[in-house]
Amino acid sequence: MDPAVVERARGGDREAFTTLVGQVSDSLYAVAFRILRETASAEDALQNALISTWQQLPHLRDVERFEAWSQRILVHACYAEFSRRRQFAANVRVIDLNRAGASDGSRVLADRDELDRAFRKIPVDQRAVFVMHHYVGLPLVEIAETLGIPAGTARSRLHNATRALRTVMAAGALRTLEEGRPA
Amino acid sequence: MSDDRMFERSAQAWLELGPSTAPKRVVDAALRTIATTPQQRDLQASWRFPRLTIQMRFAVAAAVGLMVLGAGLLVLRSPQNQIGQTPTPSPSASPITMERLQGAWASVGTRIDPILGNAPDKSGLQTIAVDAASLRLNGWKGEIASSASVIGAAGQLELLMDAPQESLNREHWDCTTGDSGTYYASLSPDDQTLTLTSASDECASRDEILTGDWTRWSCPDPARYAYCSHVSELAPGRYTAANFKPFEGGTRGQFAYTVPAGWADFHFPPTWPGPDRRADLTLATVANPDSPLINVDSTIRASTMSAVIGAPPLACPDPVTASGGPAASVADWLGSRPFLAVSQRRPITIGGLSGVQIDVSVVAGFVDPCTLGSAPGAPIEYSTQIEIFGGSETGDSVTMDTATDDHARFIVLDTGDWQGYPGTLLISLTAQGQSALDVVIAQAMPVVQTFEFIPGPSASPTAVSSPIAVNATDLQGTWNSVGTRPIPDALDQLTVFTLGANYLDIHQSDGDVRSSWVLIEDTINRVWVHGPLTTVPVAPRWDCFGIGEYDVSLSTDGATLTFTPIDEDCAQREAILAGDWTRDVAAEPSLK
Repeated sequence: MDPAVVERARGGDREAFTTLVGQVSDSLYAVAFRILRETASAEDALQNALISTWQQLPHLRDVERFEAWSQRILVHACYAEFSRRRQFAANVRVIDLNRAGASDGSRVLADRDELDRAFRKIPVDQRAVFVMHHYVGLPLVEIAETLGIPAGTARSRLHNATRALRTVMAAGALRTLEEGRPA
Repeated sequence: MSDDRMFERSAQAWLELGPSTAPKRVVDAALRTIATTPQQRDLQASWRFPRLTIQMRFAVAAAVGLMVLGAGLLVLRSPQNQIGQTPTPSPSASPITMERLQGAWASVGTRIDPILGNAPDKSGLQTIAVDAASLRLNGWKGEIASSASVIGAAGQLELLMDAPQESLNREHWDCTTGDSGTYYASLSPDDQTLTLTSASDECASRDEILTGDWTRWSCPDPARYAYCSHVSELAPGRYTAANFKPFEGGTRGQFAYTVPAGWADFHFPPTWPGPDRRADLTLATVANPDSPLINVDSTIRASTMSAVIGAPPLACPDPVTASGGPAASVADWLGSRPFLAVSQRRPITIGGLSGVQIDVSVVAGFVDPCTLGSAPGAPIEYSTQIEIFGGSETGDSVTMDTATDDHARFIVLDTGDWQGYPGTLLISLTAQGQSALDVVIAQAMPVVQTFEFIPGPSASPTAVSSPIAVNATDLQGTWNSVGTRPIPDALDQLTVFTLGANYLDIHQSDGDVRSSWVLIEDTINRVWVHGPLTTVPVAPRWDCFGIGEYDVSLSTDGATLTFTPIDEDCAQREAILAGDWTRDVAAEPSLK
């Protein structure tokens, strides 16, 4: 990220900001989708985050931190979208591919579906830390700095998210045992 | 490959699935909006990366909480915290002026909101801000501003829609930029309640939201929504917390306190119920709202984290069990940590509870060896932030940083035994540096001295005798239902289930219905179950699948287990598990 471009955008140069958008929007959208697990929500979160980033850009002191700063705004936009959307999600029925007799191919899909369902059960702030760690690849301290939370909190959120997903994976292992058991 | 590595690889592979390119139409739409959206250059304070101290721990939760409220809270409640503060609209004899209307207002009751069009109830609580020349609705995707002016002594409020069409479309408002509206405004004699009555409005959405009563929201600076989203200025006086319950893990009791002028709480507009934070409460000053001066937490516990001095590589030691209570024992624990310097320890009584006050600072040079602070491939660094308290129900922690000379005063109070443990409540005052802490203490301690903790009746009078904090091993075994439970496609019948190390089998005559389960740490006595993972012939009768979350309690003798559903995808499983179970001592748990 060219600090000079960030500086120009901070000064109100929309063309410069458009350049920045071109550089960060893909990664922001990818993160938003992985936190929210839903295309429409991720699109809204990205849109809102980009607009907020533009509006608040004059208050970014350290232009070198633009990318992390925009990630923080995105995560907060994800929180907002999550809250707005979740009341509409209650009646969505996920097709259960995990029934007995599922083929190996559908079992793989079922495993992914289970992970997805488990992930949706995790509080969104834990999802954000999990995605920032395992997808973006940030260490916990950097996640904490990006999200504006203590490292201890980031760690506990990652811990909780990990435990929840492990529950699902343990279930998968149990199922494998079941399949190997004589009828 | 270790389980940890395998899990990481699986998780990363799963996360890699999904889009990596932003849709062009989405980015284009944002850029179109940006083309007509000014940057915010009028705020008093610039954004900066905050220092990672204990002061920041509530900001994110509060921001999330605001949006949760806006989306989901559909009922009007009495005003937050302040005793006897009830909107009392009555017309004012004084002429209405823009000056009198200025400030932030929260809707009394919910209003139809177009963006909630798909929800069963399309209503939501609303806030508006009025300044000298505009009225701004706090929409979901930004402010929706109208030029505003008052015409005539009757208080005729003229509005002209300034919001760009793109913003209106995003909010699902069927309105047009430039739409005009006329309202009659009246104010209560104390200027605390505003009543808007529509005379005409070309923008029906604005009409639906604005018409009705509004109560003044003591937001210190209405223009700064990020600021006001979680801070409400408190008038000098005595308050009773609406949500915070100081006893039994946030389930029982009341909390009262008195503040002088200039204080604020981390809550929401007066007509909003506020987040369900029963286990903690935070007070700040209006002058510095993002640095809470007083935090009160009824479920937080001394942390097991370690800190060491040394050069990389450092081993992450096994956690050492910290004292959960009583208060004196927690103070002993703090005093025995090599990375903490303690002083001013003395017994104290606050609001009817006895305990220990202790001042703590972290010793420079110590690091948390369990947290790597470097990017992959970079030289190893360790975090200088050390968690002192954690594991609270709200996820909050108290983390002190050796690099920023964090200092704190902790007041640990005994609240009585609960679930087999000595209950404690933590009051923390924090600052960077001793002199800063002295200032905080001077401001905060007079308020702390006004605290009153009122136990009140137990929240769970029907609970199984003396429930205790459970561990996974406690729960394992075979359990018989107390009473009958509905089995799918069968008459009600007595039911048996077995809890193994990681599975839960509900036994039926022709097979078992198996779910996996795990005890959720950091949340007292809560389990998740997942499945069913069962096979024929039982499966066809179980038309459900998913994750269930339950509170569990175990009697002191370990003989009675109670499941209380929190959230369950599978109604059939919930109908069976919910309720009391007695241990089948004759049956051997089949720990497969």
